[in-house]
Amino acid sequence: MARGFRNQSRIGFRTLSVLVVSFLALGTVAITGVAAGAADSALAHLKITEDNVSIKQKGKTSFVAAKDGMALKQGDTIKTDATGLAEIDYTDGSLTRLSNNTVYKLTVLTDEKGGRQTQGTLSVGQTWQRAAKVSETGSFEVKAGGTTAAVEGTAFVAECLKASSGLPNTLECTITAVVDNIHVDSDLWDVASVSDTQ
Amino acid sequence: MLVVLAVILASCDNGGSSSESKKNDNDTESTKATTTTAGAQQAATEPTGTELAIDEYLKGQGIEYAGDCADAKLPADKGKWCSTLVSGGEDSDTATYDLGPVGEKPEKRITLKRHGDAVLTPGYQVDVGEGNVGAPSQLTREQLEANTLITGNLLLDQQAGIGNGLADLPPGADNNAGGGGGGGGGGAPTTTTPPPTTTVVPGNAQYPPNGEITVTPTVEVGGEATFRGSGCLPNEPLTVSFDGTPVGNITADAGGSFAGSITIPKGTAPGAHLLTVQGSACVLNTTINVAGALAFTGSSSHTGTYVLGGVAAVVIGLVLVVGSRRRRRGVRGMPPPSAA
Repeated sequence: MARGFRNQSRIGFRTLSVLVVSFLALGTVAITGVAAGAADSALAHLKITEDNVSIKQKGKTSFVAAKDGMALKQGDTIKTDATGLAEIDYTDGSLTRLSNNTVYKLTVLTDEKGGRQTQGTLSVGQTWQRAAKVSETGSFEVKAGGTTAAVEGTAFVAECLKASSGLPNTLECTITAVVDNIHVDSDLWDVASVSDTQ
Repeated sequence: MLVVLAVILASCDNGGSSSESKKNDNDTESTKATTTTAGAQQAATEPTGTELAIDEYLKGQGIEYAGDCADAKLPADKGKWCSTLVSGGEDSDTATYDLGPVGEKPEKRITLKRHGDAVLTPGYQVDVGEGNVGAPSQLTREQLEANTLITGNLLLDQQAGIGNGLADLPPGADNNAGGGGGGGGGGAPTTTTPPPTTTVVPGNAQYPPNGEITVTPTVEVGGEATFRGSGCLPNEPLTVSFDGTPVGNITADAGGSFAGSITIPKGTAPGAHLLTVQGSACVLNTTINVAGALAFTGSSSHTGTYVLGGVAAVVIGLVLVVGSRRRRRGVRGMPPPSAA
């Protein structure tokens, strides 16, 4: 009887051990997967083509050296110097290439409402934009010179360079469509009419 | 303990990522706040877009603007006016709003029109500045070909598997048109005279100013570098060399221009390498940077760490189980205590 009880105890212990190990293994794999998935949740990564490239992350006050492959998020500002070249690779296949002496801020970078919303603001320099096909709820926009250039499956250039007039702090911006059409809209609105309501 | 270990591993990066995504949400909210709401809490936020126009109009009337009526609150916004969108909006070129004191019936209807807009077809350019949109002008084929920001990036895109490289270059306007005048679709393709041959400056040819040969600036070992140039004799056979070693032959077209691609041989050391295109009347050199390692392209660089951690946790768990079983066997094998 004592032997039977011991055998039963051994079987119970084995079963418990197997269950514990399985539980731990499954739990670890699950957590690993979740963690890896979370790490992949960044919607864009930085590729440094040529040094030097710096970044001012959202909430920070100064630029620091950027790292090749680093995840980017909304609010980050990328800056290249006279030799620096960088590329922002979005996970939807779109990309933004920054030429030398360029400052570009990721003003919007979200995956809301089932569509990718990407918007950057070019302060100075030259950028090449290649937008992947955007869904109806998505958008790919670049702000430059107080206007917004919006695209659909398109390549285009946004440039804001020092004015040829030589006036200090004066930039001349241009948008050039290369592949497909670009909609350029002013960010300013004028009052067309005002009337009293009934 | 193992669960704790795994959780710590996960939270190391998760803390960054999940909180980042949460931050992203917050950022989005704050961005929205600048364009769609005002009210007491967003009073410090500068209005933009249509709200800026409404704000300026009301200021001119001596009235303070509280933003969207849906967000305006009493008594904080008492005395201020708010707006309700009636039709159109930021996504269109016109927007109509009803305006009135917060908590009361609207008194005015205001229609806003975008300050300027343009639709650019390929090859068209527009000057923009301080919210002004100039008249679109069509670039000439010559201007487009000379724009190394465009040609260089088309080639880079092609290398990345996007687009058709220089075949995507818009036809451009007739060279005699001088790039002026808006309207109309893309002009018909025009034949262009190749620019005069100039000295090629060796170095990184990412966006060479006035270069006669352009090449994919940075390529991985085994990758393909696309090059293009001009300044050779019409239909001339050309030799392509990599670091002085001939790797192939191409033929210039009727205008003396040429294009081709080379695959970077395996075993090529990272760094700058010389690409030469040589004919009887032209020798054009440029530099290709060969990258040492594949760039990080999107998936988590920490995934390996997590998997390793998971495997380690499982192994530790097995060791603990086996150890406890052995200990148990050892206890069972001890002689029973002798009876007094």
